[in-house]
Amino acid sequence: MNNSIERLIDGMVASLRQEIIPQVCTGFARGQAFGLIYMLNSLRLRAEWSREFVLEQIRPQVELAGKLAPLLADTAPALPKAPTPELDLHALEALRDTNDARICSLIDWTAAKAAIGLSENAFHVLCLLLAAEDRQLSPSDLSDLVGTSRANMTKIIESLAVSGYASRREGKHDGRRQVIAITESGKAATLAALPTLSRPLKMAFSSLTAEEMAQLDALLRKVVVSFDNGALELDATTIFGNPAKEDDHG
Amino acid sequence: MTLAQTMPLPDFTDEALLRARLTAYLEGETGRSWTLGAFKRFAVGFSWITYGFGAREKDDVAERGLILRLGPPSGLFAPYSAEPQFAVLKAIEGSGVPVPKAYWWSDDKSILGAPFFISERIAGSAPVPWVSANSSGFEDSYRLNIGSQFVSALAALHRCEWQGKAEFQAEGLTVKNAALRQIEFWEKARARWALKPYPMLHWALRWLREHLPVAPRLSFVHGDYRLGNFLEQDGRITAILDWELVHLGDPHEDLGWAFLPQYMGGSGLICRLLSKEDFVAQYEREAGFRVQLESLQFYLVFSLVKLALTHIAAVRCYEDGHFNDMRMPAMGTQIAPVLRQISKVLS
Repeated sequence: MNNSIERLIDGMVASLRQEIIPQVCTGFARGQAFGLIYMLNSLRLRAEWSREFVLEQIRPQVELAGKLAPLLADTAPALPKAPTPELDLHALEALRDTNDARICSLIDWTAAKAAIGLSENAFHVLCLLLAAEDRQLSPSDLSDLVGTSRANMTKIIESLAVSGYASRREGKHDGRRQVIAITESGKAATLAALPTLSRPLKMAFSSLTAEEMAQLDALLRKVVVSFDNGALELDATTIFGNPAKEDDHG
Repeated sequence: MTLAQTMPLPDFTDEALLRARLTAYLEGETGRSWTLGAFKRFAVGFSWITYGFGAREKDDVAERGLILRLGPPSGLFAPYSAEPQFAVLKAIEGSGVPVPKAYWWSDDKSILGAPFFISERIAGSAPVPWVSANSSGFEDSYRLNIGSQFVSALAALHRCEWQGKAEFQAEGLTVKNAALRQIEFWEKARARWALKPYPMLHWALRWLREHLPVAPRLSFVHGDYRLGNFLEQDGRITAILDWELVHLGDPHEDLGWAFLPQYMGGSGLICRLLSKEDFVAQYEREAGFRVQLESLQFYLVFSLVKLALTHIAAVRCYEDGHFNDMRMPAMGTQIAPVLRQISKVLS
């Protein structure tokens, strides 16, 4: 049921008193209506929705969680939870609603994945392209920045091109080198997915105070500057090994 | 002493007080004396309150029938404004859409306690037969005749010129964003009404955002065009009623709503009147554009979402104690079937 039992009975009684009884002509029928009011008010004191009825609603939520659990990465939103035996009716109703909210988050998360069509790596590539100067980067730069092998990056770029989210172009300064550029639809898909993906990120950092967030921000900036300074002496192979032989694009 | 200072505001059930205030209003508007007869409240709708009454202006030989509609602060879609309904009724007078003549309106709550408008009372009754499954409940000749008028009135509404009229500002509305605007409107309604999350509704709203159609034109959209919202007398549709959801948008939206299975009564006929093919063929001829099947599908899903949200609103209004109308919790029992229907349509 969608309405609470208390409110339903109150409304029934009010409807009988205000709308129905004044229109009832015979004394006997009015007596019947007053009897109904009396019994409804008695029921109100003792009745509540069945616990089993709420459990019936929770059962498919838990089944769904069981089916999804092996398919989802750790980064997926929380799955619906099973009830524990000690939960009373109100706690069960709260659990059912929390589970429904979790299913809504899963729908958003799946849609965000679908919006970029691919893996987290593909989304990462689109974010990097969106942030890059001229909205383009070389395949090897992308491979280094994402931290995946060049062979895998080739596959990612291929599928992004098929989806129309990225395109291959000749380098501006060196026609022999290929660069990958984000397309308008790639930009739109990335921006559409961002609000959904930002929610779990916000939740992850929600326990930090504003002051702690500022500190973290300052520290991360320092680390980024250190990386930038060190970039002249480092290349990605130092960190990720040397998969260059798998790279089609050099 | 003004009217507001001398009389308390009515609670919409105190008909004597309502009549007194309305008489004073009409006399103020026309500068002539009025005599109003007994008020009859119509048990229709969950939103605007409707009264019928007889009225005689000074020197009138005969009494004329008028309708008063009030948008109470506790209504499903409150807060209301009477202006859009009044403006559209005025704009389409004489356009081929049978509508009552609209006479007065005001959003000033100090007059009757709520926004209101007054229109002509039209003769006729709303044909909603009580039928068993697989039957339209209408004789074939009757349903074909009424069905044809039902389509003609809709096509006429969608052909109406609204451009250039000061009352109708599109405010950035285009054929490209008309669908999105409606989704945004109903998403806000969901945030306001829903007492709990509904994953199927969530999924459907997302699906709608991913399948936005481009409208063939921007036209008046009735918003609740269906069986039960028109009057008929002697085989003629005398008035299209219930304009509270009227807005500018994609004309496919009214088709999606009228095509809901809820209005077929198991007959397989659109609003128990016409086959889908006959409806679309006549509509295309008269509206002057081809119905896009993708748009129709989009607005069918949209209409199911809108229907589910209307039921959710009824649950909320009842739970909050604004109404003791037992039809509202009964509407709540229809939320799950509508959500199941959305699932079926989307899969």
